Amino acid sequence: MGLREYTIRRVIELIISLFLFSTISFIIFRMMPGDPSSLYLEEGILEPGMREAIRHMLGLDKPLWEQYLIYLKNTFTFTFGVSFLYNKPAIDIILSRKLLNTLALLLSSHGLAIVFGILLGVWSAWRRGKVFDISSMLAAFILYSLPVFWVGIVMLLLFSVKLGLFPLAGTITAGLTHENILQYMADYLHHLILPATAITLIRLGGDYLITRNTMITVIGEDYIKTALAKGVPEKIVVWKHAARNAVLPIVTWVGLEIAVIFSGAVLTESVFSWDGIGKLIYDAALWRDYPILEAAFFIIIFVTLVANFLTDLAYAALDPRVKYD
Amino acid sequence: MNRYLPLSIIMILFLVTTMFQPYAKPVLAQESYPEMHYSVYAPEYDPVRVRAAQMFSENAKKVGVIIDVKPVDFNVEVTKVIDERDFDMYIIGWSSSNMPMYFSNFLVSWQDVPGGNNPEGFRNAEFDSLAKELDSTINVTKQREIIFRMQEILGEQVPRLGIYTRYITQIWQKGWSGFHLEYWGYASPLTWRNVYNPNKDTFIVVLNDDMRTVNPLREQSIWEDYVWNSVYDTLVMLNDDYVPIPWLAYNWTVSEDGRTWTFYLVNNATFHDGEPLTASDVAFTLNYLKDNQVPTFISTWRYIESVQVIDDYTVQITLNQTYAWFLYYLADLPILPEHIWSTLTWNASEPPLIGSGPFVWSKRVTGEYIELLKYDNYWRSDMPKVNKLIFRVIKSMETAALALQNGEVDFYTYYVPPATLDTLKTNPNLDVNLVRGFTYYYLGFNLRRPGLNRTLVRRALCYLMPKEDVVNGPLMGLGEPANWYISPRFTLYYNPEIPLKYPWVRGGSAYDEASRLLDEANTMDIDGDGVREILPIVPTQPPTPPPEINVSEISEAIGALHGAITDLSTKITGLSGTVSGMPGKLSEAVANALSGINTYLMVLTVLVVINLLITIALIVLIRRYLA
Amino acid sequence: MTKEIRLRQKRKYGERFREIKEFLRVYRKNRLGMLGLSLIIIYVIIALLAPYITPYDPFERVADPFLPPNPEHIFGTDELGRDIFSLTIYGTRISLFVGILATLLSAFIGSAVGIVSGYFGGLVDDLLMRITDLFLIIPGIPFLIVLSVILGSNIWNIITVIAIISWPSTARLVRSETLSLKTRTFIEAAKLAGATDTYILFRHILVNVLPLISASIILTITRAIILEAGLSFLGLGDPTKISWGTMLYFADRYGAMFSTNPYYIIIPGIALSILGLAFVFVSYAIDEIVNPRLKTRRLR
Repeated sequence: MGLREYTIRRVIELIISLFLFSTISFIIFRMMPGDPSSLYLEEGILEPGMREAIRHMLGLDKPLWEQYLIYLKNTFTFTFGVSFLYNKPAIDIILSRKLLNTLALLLSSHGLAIVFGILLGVWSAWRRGKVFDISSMLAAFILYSLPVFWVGIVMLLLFSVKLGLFPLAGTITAGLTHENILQYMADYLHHLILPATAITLIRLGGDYLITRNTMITVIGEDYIKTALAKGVPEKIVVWKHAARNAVLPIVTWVGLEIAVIFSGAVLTESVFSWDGIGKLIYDAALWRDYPILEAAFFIIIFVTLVANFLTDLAYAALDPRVKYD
Repeated sequence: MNRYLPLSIIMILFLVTTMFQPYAKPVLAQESYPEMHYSVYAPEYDPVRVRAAQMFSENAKKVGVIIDVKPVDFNVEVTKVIDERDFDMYIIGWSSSNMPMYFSNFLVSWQDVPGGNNPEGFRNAEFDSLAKELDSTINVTKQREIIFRMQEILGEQVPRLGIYTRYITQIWQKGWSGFHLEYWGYASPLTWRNVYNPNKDTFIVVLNDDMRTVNPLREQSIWEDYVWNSVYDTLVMLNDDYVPIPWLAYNWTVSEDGRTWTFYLVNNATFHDGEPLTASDVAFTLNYLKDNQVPTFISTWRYIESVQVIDDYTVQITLNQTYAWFLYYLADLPILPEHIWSTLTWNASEPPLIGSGPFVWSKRVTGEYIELLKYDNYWRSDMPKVNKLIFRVIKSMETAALALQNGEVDFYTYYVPPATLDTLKTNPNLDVNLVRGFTYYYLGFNLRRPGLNRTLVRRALCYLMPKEDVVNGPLMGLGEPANWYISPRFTLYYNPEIPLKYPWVRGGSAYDEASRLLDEANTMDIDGDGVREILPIVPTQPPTPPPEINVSEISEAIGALHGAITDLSTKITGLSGTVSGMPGKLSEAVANALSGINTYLMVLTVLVVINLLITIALIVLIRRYLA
Repeated sequence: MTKEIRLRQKRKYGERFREIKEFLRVYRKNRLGMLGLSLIIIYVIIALLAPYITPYDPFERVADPFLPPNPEHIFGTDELGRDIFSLTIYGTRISLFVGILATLLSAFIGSAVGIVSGYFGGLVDDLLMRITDLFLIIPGIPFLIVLSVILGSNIWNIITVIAIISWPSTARLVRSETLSLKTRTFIEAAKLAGATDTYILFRHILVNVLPLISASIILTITRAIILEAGLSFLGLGDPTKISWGTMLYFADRYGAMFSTNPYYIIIPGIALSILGLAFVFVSYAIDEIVNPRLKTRRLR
């Protein structure tokens, strides 16, 4: 089977997965007891007939199969319907500042975690069995077994409440009028530091361990031994020859973990009141805002699937040894 | 291939059944006498209510009543209690204890339907007729008499038991005055109009959550009201005693039969774009709501027959029945400018916020703040007293407390964590007030359940709810026990005799008292397992044929057999409840055909199966044509 | 069954026994592994003997709320005036229980799916792997929230929910190991000898796959414990039970951060992390022994 057929097959599989997934998510969300009309009951405001009217307004009184067809149409045209909570198209709510906030948080923290993870992992593998290796490995184990929300709370307790160094919540100081863009950036960064550090710390352990493991395998390869024997300086062997090959798996791994990364944001964002996608999903789940939930899930899944697909395709196109299977 | 087919079918079935496993209802064990074993729902997001339920359960255990605490998601509780009515007891909050109109609509027999206001299944003929009478009474003294009597019936029958009410913390920087608080337990619209500080002209308020929508007809949370209350004006306003006072309508008259209301408007009110506010805007607003059947204002437009513009500043509203609470609903209705809204759909996502209120919509930064400026041509020249009103979005209560400490905000009203309150109280720049909120939290009983249908049992359980301990423990003293159905602050309608006559306060002898009542209700531990059984009550008079009123003691005469029947019928009602939860003709037809099977889950199952089949088919196709 | 087969069987069991003995001998030399194991044993003992260790009844209000640490209450008291030390001790029970049971359940589902998928291949494989992929890419915590809302919050449902989201990685692992085992000669031989699929699945493949994936299964316990705490912290756990997660939830809701006793937040987290760490150590030790690839390669 050639590359073309392989691509076609993968595309079809992608579509099947998306279809299957969207149906399952529809089913799962509808299985949650209750519906958005309960929102008005939170504090006991119940007018007779009001809930029926709200259900009608939201189209929830339609038969389920009709709702399903509408949902399919909305999903595959990427409109996702109108959010119940925010009275706006769901896609507009997701592609807003919230997404930017989440991306800022995730990119900065995971970027740092990957960079430090690789640096430490490579060096640790090279110095295998030495004090540095063992101590950093222990540290990685400890980081790996910490719950991210707890780290967040303890950091808040220490740096915000006790020391007063960082703000308690939010993405920028509420109500402050910023004179220029620089001031705004500084304020944003000031708010970003704690949550980003929390995620970096938690992820560092995993990234480090993976790099270290691959690096140990790479170091065992003959070409490294040859290079060393030829008298190439140690630093160059480590950072140019070995590290390059150790980096690939971790990058692939991060690519596969997009869904995990996004979902990890839920806890961090709720601890730091970070106004992002994670909190949006959490609220949407609690208030049964189906369009937002469906849109958020679909987009995350879609991005993950496409990322996987592209990596596989790139591998297939570049590496002649890959069997199309 | 054939070899694996059964296996895959089994896998699919396994998956499907595991998915629906939580819905499998346990088969009730057949017993000669039902045991007093109940469960109580509490919303899991609120630790206080969960803990109240736990304390209640521990107390009940000591007198031989088992109560399982079930903390659930709020939406689940609403579904179980209000829609399906499949519960034993529940704890929930009710914020409308200041609103007399609910007395014409809650716990009455015609609300004993799925989604209705009587999930308890309370049936009391006198209560029903009083409620009907109340709805068509506009004489305040008469209303008061009726509501007093209704509170007495509730106090005596206890279909629900008030547990506690929380204090709302209201904090402002010293120097500000003119607050009108406590309206709905939050800040009154009069506050924005009257607040004043000789040294400042900007008033900064904490908004506990961002506005979810700027469309006043799509209200989503009480915090949005803060903004709309200052941008829009209403015909009438509620004063500090919750009595309607003139506002845009400086006067009004009502006909003898209570169906024709005539409002006389002030003649100098204008919208923010300069257009005058006239009777036609009022007529437009009401007709617009009615024509579009706007759900959030359903109680306002429901009984409107027609709206007539008499002259520029006089409007006459005809209702199709006497409606005692019309004014209260008008106090909540923003008057929309006809020249703007006539071209808008009612649920537009970004309508221009142009009203006739004291403040002009100026700027909004989503998630951060909303800025309003004083409207210079406001029809009342003495209002507002500040030039700028800023609502600053601060969701975390801790951050709000910190902002108050630093003097960054002027006013905050809501709950604060108890640990934070002490620090705030000691701050010399802050005025801290604790106000009894209107939301009160109560325990509701399902009167369809065996045992709970006996008034004596309910009274016994009332003694077991440790209200004081809840307030002093989980609530940390920031509240007080609630012994009422309408807030004591609402002196016009509050019946002060109820808590004296029916105290239900747990004293030292609570257990003895509860045991005595339970014995009297003919419940007894006959099999020696520490749990009471519900014994039939020996009829004192010949049993009447099974009446529609299933609560009164008379119906218990039929005894254990009847208990079993009730149980069965509850199950059936529960099922039909779920079925009718999904309207539509098709589902009805299916429901009739498959009476007793949960249609919703059926459809979902079918969807799962179809999906899996399609997937299998596609995989097979791919394998055949591409592999 | 003929006598010969029974004899062969017996020899095989003897072999297994020797393998296990050998494994234990190597394991005993692994310092991290032994440290982890002893920590776990200590935790288990604490959990079992909780009523005898705790100085106070964790449900009783024994002092004023938010007392800072003092001689009577070494970690202070919570918002109700209950002893935090006693609460933490009792919390061990739920966390251990949920962690281990959820992992067992997920290992069960995961290996069943993985083995069936890898062994039979074809359509079954395609279908099961499609489903597994689906579960792998569903965003975990939001999915967890949705599921726990559907099922409701009691301890069994939390276990189910954690198992549902953690089985796919086990399934993938088991499948790939099964695929490589499938081609080995002894399987072919068993097939030729007329062994049934079920027999091969259980007697040959499962037995050989389990040691290889045991390290990752034990690592799942750590994840499960953390997930339980996270769920409870969000208020989706069972607030009527004492677990470290629900302690953190109450601490957060009552503003313990600003109170006079911040240890209310710190202590449950530390207890949780040490337990998680113990399982990581054990998992690492097993991995070192079972996957010799990592054992001896040491360059310098």
